[in-house]
Amino acid sequence: MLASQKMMRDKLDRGFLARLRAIVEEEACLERPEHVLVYECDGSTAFKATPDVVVLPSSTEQVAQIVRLSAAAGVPFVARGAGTGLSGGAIPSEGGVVVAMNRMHRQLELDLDNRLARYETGVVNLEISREVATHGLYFAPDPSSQSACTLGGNIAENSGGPHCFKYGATTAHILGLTVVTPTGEIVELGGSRDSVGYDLVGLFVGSEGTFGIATEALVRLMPVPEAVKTILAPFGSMVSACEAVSDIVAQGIVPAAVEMLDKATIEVVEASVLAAGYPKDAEAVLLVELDGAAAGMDRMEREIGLVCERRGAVSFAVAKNEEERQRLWLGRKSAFGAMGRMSTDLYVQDGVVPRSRLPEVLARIGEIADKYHIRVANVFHAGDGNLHPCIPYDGRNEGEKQRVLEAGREILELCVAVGGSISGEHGIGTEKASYMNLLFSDSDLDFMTNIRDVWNPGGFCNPGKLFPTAQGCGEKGMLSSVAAMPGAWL
Amino acid sequence: MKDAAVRQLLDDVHARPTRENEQAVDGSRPSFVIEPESRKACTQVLSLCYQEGLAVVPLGAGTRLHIGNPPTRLDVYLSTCQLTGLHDYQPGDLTIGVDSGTPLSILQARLREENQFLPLEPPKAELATIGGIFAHGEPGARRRPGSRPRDLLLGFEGVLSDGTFVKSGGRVVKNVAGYELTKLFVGSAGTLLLMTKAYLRVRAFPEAVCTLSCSFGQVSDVVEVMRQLQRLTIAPEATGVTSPHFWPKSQESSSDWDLFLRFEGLDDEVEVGLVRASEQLARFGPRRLDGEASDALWKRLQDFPADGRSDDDLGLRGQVVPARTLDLAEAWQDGGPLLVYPEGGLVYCAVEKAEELAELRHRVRALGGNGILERAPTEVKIKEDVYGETPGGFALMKQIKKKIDPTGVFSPGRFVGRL
Repeated sequence: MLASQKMMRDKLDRGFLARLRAIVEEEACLERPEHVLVYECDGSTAFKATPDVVVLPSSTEQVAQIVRLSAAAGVPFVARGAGTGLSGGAIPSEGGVVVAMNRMHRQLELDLDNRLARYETGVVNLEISREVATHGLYFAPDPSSQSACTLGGNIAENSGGPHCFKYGATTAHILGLTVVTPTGEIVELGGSRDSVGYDLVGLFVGSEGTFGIATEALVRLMPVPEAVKTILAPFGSMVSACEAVSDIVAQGIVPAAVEMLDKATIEVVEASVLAAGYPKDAEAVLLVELDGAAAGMDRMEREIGLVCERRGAVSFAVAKNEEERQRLWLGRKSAFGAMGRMSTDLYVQDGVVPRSRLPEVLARIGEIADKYHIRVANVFHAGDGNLHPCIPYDGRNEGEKQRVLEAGREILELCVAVGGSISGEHGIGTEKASYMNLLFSDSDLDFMTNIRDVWNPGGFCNPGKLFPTAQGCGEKGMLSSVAAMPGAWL
Repeated sequence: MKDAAVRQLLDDVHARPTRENEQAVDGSRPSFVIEPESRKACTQVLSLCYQEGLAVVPLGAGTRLHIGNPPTRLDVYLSTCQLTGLHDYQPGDLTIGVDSGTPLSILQARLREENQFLPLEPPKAELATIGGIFAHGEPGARRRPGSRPRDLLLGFEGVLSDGTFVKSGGRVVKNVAGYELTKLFVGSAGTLLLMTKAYLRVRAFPEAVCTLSCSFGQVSDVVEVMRQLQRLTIAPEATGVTSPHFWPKSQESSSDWDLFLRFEGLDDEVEVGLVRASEQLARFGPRRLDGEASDALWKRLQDFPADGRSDDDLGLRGQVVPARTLDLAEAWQDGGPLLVYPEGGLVYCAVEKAEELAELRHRVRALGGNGILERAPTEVKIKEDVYGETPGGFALMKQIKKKIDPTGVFSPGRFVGRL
């Protein structure tokens, strides 16, 4: 335990916990080591920090009281949804209080005329679509973890998902927020109509829990498309599959989703209970979904078929029914889970490259894997150029985790060098804080931390995230020497 | 300002005196115009203004310069007219880099060569610059996620008030590295920073575009029809409504309310969309506008908010929840010609009498909305905040402005709450 954490616990012991317990119900305050242990990491087990206490509020007012109490006592706090994040964004890096939002999951308002709903942010993503399905509506953001992840986590990370290729990431679907600021004030941002002033809702979404705790959100609901087609096209080479993607997009076809799995991923998915029927001998599988009006969809399917044929697809098939379609998607969305078969630990990387650079970048990732003696399975959002190289490893082996992290860093350097980004949807969190210098100069980072300090003046709200720890203490010059590589986006 | 040393410094950055014919902001013109030729020159100019306490209004084509509260100080127009050019255009990636002073029309012409376009339709699009369009961030007729200015700006380079060069976002279509400062810039109306370059997401040109138009005697008929149209599975890409006095008497229309639905997409999709919408509108005699007729119509709607040049012209923009847009149109129908975007909850009114402004603003508030005084005499603007409401989180906005532009270099007094 760090000295600062030890001090923290002492501070908590002196009456802080009693005051916290007075805010929420007795059983909504977890302190015993075996109870708080499950909050030590998120979906990425590579980064861990144990909270001193976990509190489960059931109202915005309770959240505000918790925040005010913590801020006044100088205790760090971090909000947490389902803990499915992959960048260590919800772990209490400096100990303190984890504010688990899971008890706040009610629908507060359903406005069918304006196609909006107000929810508490602890609601599970998929629950929203289930609850509004009878009205022919759904909530579009669909991260792979959507059956578990919460709306609040989606807001914090500006989560994407396969269908954000067509419909945009979470930010495009959030119109208003109730936020408990890091000083404990409750503010209403945005709303069901256009407003004036700076777009604080847009600024808050993607702030990774460092601007406060969103307790309620007004979300946009979309009409369920009239028709959907899901296409499976296996290829004999990854390069051809990538070229097919570029051709499809260049033709002006806008699929709802364009996903790709490589051979290593196909093998592991097919060997699991989640087998989707992907051909095991393919080097790559392209999954394309079309949605929208039924008119024209057959023609789009034919055009995609022609592109795939031209690029050497082994076959081309369309899911015949909803069951088959769901199975194709389950394989894709459960790929990370299925990789549990490969090793004890899994490091899921998240980088973005311009779509046209995918073939060369994938080849280079193969070379990086060889260099570090690791395996890499690629499953990714090909339409967006958003890569997810997955690296299975055994953290019990001496030095293996370090090697994996180094390979991960090299992959990100590669993404930046071709004009991409170090995160497409998982966020920076703990994992990539020290990589921010790959993309941003000291001035860029100061610009961001200045904005953060406006929201979070005491620095108690989710400390230790997003920015290099050296930021502002003289070491940043050393770190930034790796920045501004040739070809970096600006 | 007037002393010789500052004059010399201004000469060094090629400042020139403002000309008589240059646009004024609420009756006042700055002493100088500076037209930097590079990003580096922008940082020099802003460092100087910061040090000397000069107030700067960033200027593109000036098509929306009239929107804002009267400036508390104004010394320099910082024009982006020399910052033009396109970069890193990869048609296959559907992304492009654009210097902020580039007119939208230049960008669209280049994109059109690759059968692509930027889905934005600001007023005076032939003049409006990329910097100005995103600084104002007006949503226009397109309202779907992915078609608003905030969805299209992937990243930017810019210069802060003290001359610091910064960038944010990136040039790829998906990116969550760092805070979403692009969202902060869109709609900041020249009060936070000078954008020098933008990276944008573009789109393939639709195979077919066609507009359906229909006339109604009363706004209540439009309300009824809109309710039915909401059930259409092929939704129009843009929907506009104009009030009886929108069109000059000499033109074909009319003493009627006109509804316009624009369909875009694949040929077959647009055809089916038109057929289905026509069925719903059958008893109102829908008419079809193709090609140039459709383009000309939407251009007219798009330019309406920028109509008028004299200080006496009055313009009001109403914001309500989408379902109440036509209620607002009804409440404002005697105020002047109206342009209505029902999907966005927006109504533009070319107000005829200054004494009616207060009453019209009162009516939009009664519907739970807000009225922005886009165009009004300075004496009215001095009394009433142009932006109307004090938005949620205003205290945070104020602190952001203070933190990013501590000495008030950028457009002091012009923004919401006279920030």
